[in-house]
Amino acid sequence: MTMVSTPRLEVKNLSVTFTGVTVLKNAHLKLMPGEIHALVGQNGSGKSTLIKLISGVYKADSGGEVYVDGKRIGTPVHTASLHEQGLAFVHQDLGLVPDLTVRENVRVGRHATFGFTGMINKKKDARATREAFDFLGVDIKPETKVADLVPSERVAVAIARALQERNLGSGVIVFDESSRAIPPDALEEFYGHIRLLASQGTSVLFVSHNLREVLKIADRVTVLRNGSVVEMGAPTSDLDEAGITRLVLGKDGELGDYVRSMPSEIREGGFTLTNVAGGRAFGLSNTIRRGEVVGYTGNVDSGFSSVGPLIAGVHPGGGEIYVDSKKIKRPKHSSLPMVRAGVAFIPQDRHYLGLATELTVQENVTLPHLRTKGKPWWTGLAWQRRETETVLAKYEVTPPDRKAAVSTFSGGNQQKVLMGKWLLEQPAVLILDDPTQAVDVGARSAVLRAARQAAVDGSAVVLCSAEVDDLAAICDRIHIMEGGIVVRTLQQPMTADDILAATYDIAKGSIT
Amino acid sequence: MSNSAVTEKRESVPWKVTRYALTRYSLVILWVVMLAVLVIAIPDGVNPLIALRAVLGQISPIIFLGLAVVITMAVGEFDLSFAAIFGFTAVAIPALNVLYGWPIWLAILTGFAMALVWGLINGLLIVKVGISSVVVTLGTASVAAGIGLLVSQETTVSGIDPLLGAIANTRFLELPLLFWYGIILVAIVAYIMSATPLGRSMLFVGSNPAVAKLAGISVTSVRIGAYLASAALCGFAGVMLSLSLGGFNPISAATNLMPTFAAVFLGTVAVIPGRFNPIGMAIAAYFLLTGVFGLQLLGFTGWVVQVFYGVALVVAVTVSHLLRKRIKT
Ligand SMILES: Nc1ncnc2c1ncn2[C@@H]1O[C@H](COP(=O)(O)OP(=O)(O)OP(=O)(O)O)[C@@H](O)[C@H]1O
Ligand SMILES: [Mg+2]
Repeated sequence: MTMVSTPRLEVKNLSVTFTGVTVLKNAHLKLMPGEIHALVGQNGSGKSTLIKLISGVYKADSGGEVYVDGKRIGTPVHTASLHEQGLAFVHQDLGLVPDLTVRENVRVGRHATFGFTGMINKKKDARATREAFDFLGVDIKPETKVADLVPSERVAVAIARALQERNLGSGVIVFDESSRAIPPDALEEFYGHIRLLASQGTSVLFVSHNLREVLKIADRVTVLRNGSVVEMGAPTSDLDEAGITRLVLGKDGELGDYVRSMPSEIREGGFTLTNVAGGRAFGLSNTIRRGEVVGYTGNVDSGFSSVGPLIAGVHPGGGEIYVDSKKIKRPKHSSLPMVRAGVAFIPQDRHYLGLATELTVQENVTLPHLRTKGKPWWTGLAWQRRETETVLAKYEVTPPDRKAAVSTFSGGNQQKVLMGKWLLEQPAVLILDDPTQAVDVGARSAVLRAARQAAVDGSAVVLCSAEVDDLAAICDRIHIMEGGIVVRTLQQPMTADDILAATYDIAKGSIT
Repeated sequence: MSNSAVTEKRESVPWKVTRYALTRYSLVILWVVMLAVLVIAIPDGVNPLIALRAVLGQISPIIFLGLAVVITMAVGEFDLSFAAIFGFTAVAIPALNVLYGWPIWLAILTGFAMALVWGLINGLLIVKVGISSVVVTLGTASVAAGIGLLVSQETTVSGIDPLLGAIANTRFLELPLLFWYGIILVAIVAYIMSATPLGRSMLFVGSNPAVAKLAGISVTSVRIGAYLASAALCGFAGVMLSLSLGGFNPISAATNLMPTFAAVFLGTVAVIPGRFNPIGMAIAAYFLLTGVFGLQLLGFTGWVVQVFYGVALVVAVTVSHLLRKRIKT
């Protein structure tokens, strides 16, 4: 009995200050053995920071305490002691080495721990890596370079690495927004694994913006707001979606059906695809008229995730693309003609394609507009300041500091900056690739509303996403893909469940 | 959050100014300190103004080469051939003029055009063909230096009409025109890099080319353009130095490699911390020249100068690395 009442992980009074700003103050957290515990809060509320304090990536201000199984391990927390205590982390920024192979990334900690004499047994390592992936239900070759993986596969690699750190029945595994990378059709299985780990006695701490997921798998939830814990370990059985949304936002959330609340009028012109093919998608023919929002979705192997970069001209491909009936050239290594034709692309890979993170928010936001708003011999200062501040205010970016480097912002706030960058000027075509990744409930509606607004204002909008709620909220029409081609089209009125059913049915149908 | 935010706001104006100056202009302060130390340390005593004039008035290509390197570094390229391109032009002009009897204007034009050709070769091979910049520029450096030796018949050629030296050596406000050319070019490049869309494009190409491309910037032209602009600056320095000195020693060009890199990297801790910037580079260059000048006055010989530049380079890179890390975490 006394054993059970000792928390597996307990955090007391953890605070941290970055360059004069206190980001987290007096945070508390308590995880019991075998518990699944969710950590929620708005973008920039300090979730990742709290996790990085526990894992010793950041150094806490003095006074904080971290206990594992009643034993004080910090602060300061030493990374080595985490190993011994069976704590494993999947950070939001993953911490992989892109130039090394998947196997090397997954196994690197292991070599260090065991320190046997002799050489690395690559075969054994590869087998262990594959086992870890089997456990997750993903198929990644151990000898691929991490740099060559798509973002969701990278998360799987980080999860695989963390999972093999676990000790049966003890320890804690921490996931910072990891489930977002699990393909929707493998999610149930992933939840199953988490439940299995917990039932064996390992504790699980996870961060998620998907509040439905939180209610579904977490036993208890801790809520952060503005760097403070406002709710510690509330049982999820007492909460519903509206309730937990209120805890996160501090006010009622809006449940968006923007198709109805923001009617859009179809205009002349638009975005036309004729037999466009590339990546895992082919035979794409469609006309997205100005004023319309069209979705592409499907299960993981359906090829829908190739659509965004392909039609934005980022990935090379065949077929023809027209903007307002004008054919756009697509040279192999340049998306320049597409950009010049007014095609704005919000990529899924924020760090690689979206933002230059070492540079400031203002520099990033104004970049695509220098040609139109600045003069060749003078960028102009007033408009840059004005427009950047508009973006910061409109999307509620915190902190609203336009001169700060993008890398100092939380993941969700970076996503908002990326949206603002492209929507500052009305694009002819707006292509969004999973735009609500990493954004909180409040910002999610801001992002979706902005996308819908772009259509209302006369852009042709394409949304590529596996998030059925996002699709249902803003799309007039949704194309469901399977095996690289569009197999079914849904029109409004439709619900998230309709989309799910349509996607799932086809996936099932293809088996027979 | 609110507590510390309030304390930050309450920070007094003089303190803010001091902190701003300290983060951006500590190198200038260090430079003044160095001058003062020199004045005190030198046995017979020197007039600080005369010392300053001697430092600023040196006939040196460092500022121009530094600008060339700042431009390529800013767009994320690495160029080892700048000193050789400079040397090639500086050698070709006296050689063509004196040894082969070409009229001086034709020699100058040819020398400068050849610098652009080296830059174009760099740009095309690195950007269009996609070969590593270290390999290509190391190669061009060696080839340019070799051909320079060939044209000059492996000797120091001199004998350009000394009157032409006036274009660089004439004094204005007690300093040679060469110094003022440097100042003007630094100002122009600094303006372009910080206040024009072109400069912003360079910044993004250097920081994240994929993002730049998605924003409609022609990454290829910016990168090739940087190699061309860099070569033009090296060519200009070559023209000026050969005219100023009336000739040029082909071996001496390579000695500029270290001081230039040291100035460029040391420049990243000043003015715009963490970024390659022309004004920071210029401050750093004169800081280093002052140091060397002082060492010479104190009677130290060649080896100390090398050690000095080496230490400055490593210290600069270390400091700017730490600065960047502070920005990131
Ligand atoms: N290295 C840093 N330097 C300065 N500020 C930072 C740094 N890292 C984080 N912050 C700030 O700390 C706050 C909390 O960030 P954190 O990443 O913990 O948020 P989060 O709750 O994980 O948000 P998200 O849901 O967007 O991932 C943010 O305001 C962020 O700007
Ligand atoms: Mg986070």
